[in-house]
Amino acid sequence: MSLTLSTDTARSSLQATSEQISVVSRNIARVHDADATRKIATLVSGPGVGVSVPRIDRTSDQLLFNTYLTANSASQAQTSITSALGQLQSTVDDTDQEHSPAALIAKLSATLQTYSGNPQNPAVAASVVSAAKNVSNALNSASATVTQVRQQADADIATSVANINDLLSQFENLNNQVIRGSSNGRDVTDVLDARDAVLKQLSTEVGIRTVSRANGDMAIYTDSGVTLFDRAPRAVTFEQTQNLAAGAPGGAVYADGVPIAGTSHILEIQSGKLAGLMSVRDDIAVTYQSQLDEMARGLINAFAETDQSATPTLPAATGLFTYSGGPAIPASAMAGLASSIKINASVDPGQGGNAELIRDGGISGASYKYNSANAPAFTDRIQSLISSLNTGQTFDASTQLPASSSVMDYAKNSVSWLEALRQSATAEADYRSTVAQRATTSLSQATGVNLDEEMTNLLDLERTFQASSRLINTVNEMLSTLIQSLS
Amino acid sequence: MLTPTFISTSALSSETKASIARIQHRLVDVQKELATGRHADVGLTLGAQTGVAVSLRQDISQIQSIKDTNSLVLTRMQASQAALNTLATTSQSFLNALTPAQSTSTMSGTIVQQANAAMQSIQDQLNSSLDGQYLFSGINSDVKPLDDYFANPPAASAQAVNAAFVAKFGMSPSDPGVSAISASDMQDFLQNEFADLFSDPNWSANWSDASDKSVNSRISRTETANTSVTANDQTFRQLTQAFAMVAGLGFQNLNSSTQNVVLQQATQLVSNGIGGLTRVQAFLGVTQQRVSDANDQIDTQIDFLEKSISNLESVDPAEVTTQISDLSTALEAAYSVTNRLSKLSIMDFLS
Repeated sequence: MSLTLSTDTARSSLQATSEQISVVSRNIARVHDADATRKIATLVSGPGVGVSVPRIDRTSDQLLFNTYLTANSASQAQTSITSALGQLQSTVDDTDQEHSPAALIAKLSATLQTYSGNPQNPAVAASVVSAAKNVSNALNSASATVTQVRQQADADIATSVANINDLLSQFENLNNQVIRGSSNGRDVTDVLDARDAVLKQLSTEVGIRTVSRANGDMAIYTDSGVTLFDRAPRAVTFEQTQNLAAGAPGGAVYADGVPIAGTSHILEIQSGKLAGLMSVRDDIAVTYQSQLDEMARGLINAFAETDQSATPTLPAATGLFTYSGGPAIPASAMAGLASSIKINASVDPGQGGNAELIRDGGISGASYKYNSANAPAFTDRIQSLISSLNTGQTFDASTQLPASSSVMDYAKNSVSWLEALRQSATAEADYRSTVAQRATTSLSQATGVNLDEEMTNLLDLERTFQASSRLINTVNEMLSTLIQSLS
Repeated sequence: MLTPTFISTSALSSETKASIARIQHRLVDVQKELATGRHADVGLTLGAQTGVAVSLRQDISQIQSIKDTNSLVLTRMQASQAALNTLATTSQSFLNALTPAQSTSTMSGTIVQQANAAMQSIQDQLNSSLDGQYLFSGINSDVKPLDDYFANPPAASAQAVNAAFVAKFGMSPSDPGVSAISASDMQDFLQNEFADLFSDPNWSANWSDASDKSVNSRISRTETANTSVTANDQTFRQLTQAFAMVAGLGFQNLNSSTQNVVLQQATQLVSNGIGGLTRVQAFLGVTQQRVSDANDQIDTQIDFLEKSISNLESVDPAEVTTQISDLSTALEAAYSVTNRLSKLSIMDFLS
């Protein structure tokens, strides 16, 4: 009787070992899968019936996993900000390229100085016009770049929202499998891995917090506390704007009907790609656009002409630089001015204008003529233009730059603003990505598979298998001997 | 089974991958720095200070252009000085001819010739131009300041002198009857009607097309200066007046006492004029000095600005070279670690 028991026990051991080996092989198969966790077949000894593998566990570390989610979201937010700043920086370029509006304004001032030395030379006047054109083109294209960055961010937000909805529906499917599986006592470790993988992807898009409940059920909230998933996914909605006007905010993102991004709402999300893109679209790019607009206004102001009649009655009018609303001077900050600033057609030789009006004045009409005697070496107007580029003006305070400075300094300050932001954003992104990298490593080290360990386990299991087989063999021999001796 | 030193296989390989990528990224930057001598990404390195670098470059381009126009201005003033020197010499020799003439009235023909020559000379000198720009026209730089007094048909200036003479004495200056004009009448004419021809607005109407406004140039970032003298200056009027007095009033046919009146007036005017020329030359000289001082200062400033830019943007080549060798060593180490790790497998030891 006890010999039969031994065979049963050995047989149970063989079965348990095979199951353990299959777990080892699962582990080895996914050794390079970053989302895979190490599976453990727990061995239980039953009273008198040998061993069995009642269930398979996985190594998990909820704390490290949450740390990973937070770090990943923060890193993603910063990465999208940094990449947008990199695009905005193309409007400034390297300092020695001298392509920035600041450098081009300085060049314009230098050409004016050359003109003041050769005021009778129309070719030099034309070179002033072309320097001025470079400035207005730089502002136009910088403004276009900003619009493009915002438009791109808006499109990326739409993609991100679509991603979130897709991931939430995947999550629902997996979550249901987990609940069903756990209540039926099935092995759900692989489904849990897949569900964690979805959470990792979700944390890329938006900062999340998770709450675990009975039967392996899980609820997801944004880092600001808005429900994204609770038994069923909540709809995340966003209306993409086809043409974002300068300075105008784009659409907001709603989750479960609550605004989570794009408005200054208390439940605004803090991290994730979505938060980063929102901050690019509605904050950074808008501020930079307003700086460009103010630069354009500063230029129009600096070159404005005043009525030169004996008794001035006319208001000041645009000079060398004008815009779509000219010839009236824009009184205060005007969104989108940088995209519409241009050279006055009456000065531009390319449009049939006369470049020498820079020296003479009268760009906006005869009353604005400074050089009443038509003297070819008249330099007063040119000199006053040079100094007005360096004269203080009042700029809009909301642009985050010193409100009172010359247009040349203002342009320079804008470069400083952008580069300072880029420097701090890049440093922050580096830091965030290091933290995220560390979190990934820690998580992987705590829950990942080590090939060497699996191989050693395999050796152990092989020995157990051999021993159990030998045992069966021995019992078999013993029984044979017994039967032989009986015959 | 979980030991404190547990490490997952994927963490092991991804760690080396990440560190190799980091080193290579930095190596690319450092190589760029070595090639250009500047930070790989100036804006990123300087941050808020980038504005300073931009502003320094703004300053350089501005003062460089001021320096360029200054050399132009200097050339113009040098040409003006040369013209004024010639004019001073002519005036002096005319004055020298006048002084003995007051005692002996026999040389009237020579005096008139001298006066004609001096008149010609003042026209030539004040009409001098550089690069198509008339030096003494003030801001009306495209017009010749003085018309030819001896032109045929007579210029407005010569006509005006004639008309004034006819109005006063009832005959033209070429009439032999002028010998009857008394010294006191001539004195009266010279001091009133004739002198009026050289004061405003007659001077501008008949003689000079120049503007009263001289050319104004920015010679440094903060200073502007008048860098030309116009033909409307009192000095040139006095000289022209003196020359026209002798050349245009029938001097040869006047009686000797009247001639003496003319000569006295002319002598006085030319002496004043020569004094005036010295003043004008001194004015130009002082401005020339200011401009060349400003240029010297600009050279120093540009030097300083370029040094400041280099301080901000440049990298130390020695440091960069060291970094490159450090990074290459680190990269080699990372490669060899990867190689060793990949060779190291428990499979090789299991049979």
